[in-house]
Amino acid sequence: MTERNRPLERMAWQLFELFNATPRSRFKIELPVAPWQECVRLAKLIRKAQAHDCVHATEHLLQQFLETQQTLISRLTALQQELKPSSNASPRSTVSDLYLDLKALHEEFASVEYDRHNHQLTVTTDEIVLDDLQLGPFAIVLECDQLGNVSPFRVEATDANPASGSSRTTHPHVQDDTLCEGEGRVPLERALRQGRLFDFFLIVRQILSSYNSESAYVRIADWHGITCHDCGSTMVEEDRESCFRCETDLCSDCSYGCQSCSERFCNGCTEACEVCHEYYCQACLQTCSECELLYCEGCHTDDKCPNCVEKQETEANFSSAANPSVHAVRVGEVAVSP
Amino acid sequence: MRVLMINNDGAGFADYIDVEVGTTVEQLFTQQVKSGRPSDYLIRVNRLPSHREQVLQEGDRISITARKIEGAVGL
Repeated sequence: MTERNRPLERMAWQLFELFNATPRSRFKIELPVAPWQECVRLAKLIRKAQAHDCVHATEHLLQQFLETQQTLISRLTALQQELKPSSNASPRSTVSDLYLDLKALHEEFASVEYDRHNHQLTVTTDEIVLDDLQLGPFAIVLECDQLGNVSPFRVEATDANPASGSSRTTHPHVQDDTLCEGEGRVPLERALRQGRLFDFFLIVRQILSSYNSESAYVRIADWHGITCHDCGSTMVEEDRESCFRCETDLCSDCSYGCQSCSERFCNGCTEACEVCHEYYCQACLQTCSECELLYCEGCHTDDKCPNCVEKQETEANFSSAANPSVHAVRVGEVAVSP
Repeated sequence: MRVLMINNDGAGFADYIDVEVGTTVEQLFTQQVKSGRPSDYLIRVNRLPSHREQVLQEGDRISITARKIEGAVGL
């Protein structure tokens, strides 16, 4: 016969009351505004990259757009499901379910503590290691009296190894103790709404155990600082600039602003106009059809550089001088143009 | 027979479903998760780790959680 655990039973009852104090009728509708705004921003950037024929940047942005679009769709789908009539609602946890969840949490995690005065359930993971980067254990603190709010939990590093350039970032996906759930957001929301505590903590742990380099506050490769592609110096995340064309990381000294389109570029993606000697990105420079000299829009005349235009004019003048309409022979006068 | 199926993947799903007597964990996984391998998921029966050949019982609680769930920056 299974032995009853009285403290866990009491905890399960308290949690049951808190979970049921947040009925569906008080469900706060949170529209996915952030992913929508990100889609709008990315679409704008894609159009810009396409206008500059930046193939690599366009591909990268399109991938980001697809992922953000998927997030938007998932969030809207989840909201739609949550707002369906209660007859279709998924089952909610009973006291018995919560008791079994708590028992399973004790077996699965290093530590489980409940602060009954502050209604905080804290579950601590084992050490999290991502690609050989040791980040230490994390305490997942669930505010059980805030279950109707968005993300009513925080994630605290108990033996933090923060990014060198950002002490607020204790994990590639945790900043200021807030976990950016990414793909886990919808299942986390559903688990909490249905009172599935064990699933909730398991999902958070799996997010902490995963790494998405495409969408990290600080990438693991940059955890101990970011290297400038051009000069090799190390910088912090806040100082990082990126080449608009090839997307390499640059320090502020190695990032050049194109005089025409104002985007930032690395040394390899910029050229000097050979007429005015200002720097421009390759997309904003043109090649002279005569001498193949690179020149900018400001120095542009038809499809020739100013040098060739001047040369052409000189030749035209010379030609006119050689064949005047009036021959000033022996009269002491200069040639007259037609 | 009825079991509680919890899929913590994608948009999430948790509800009672009917399965045939003798259904194994792997068979249920194949039915519920269209793409993906069982090894990429934590499959729990009544909150305990399970094995593929485990035969499900009436009232079992099966949860499927991806081992890798990618976080993101504040969306």
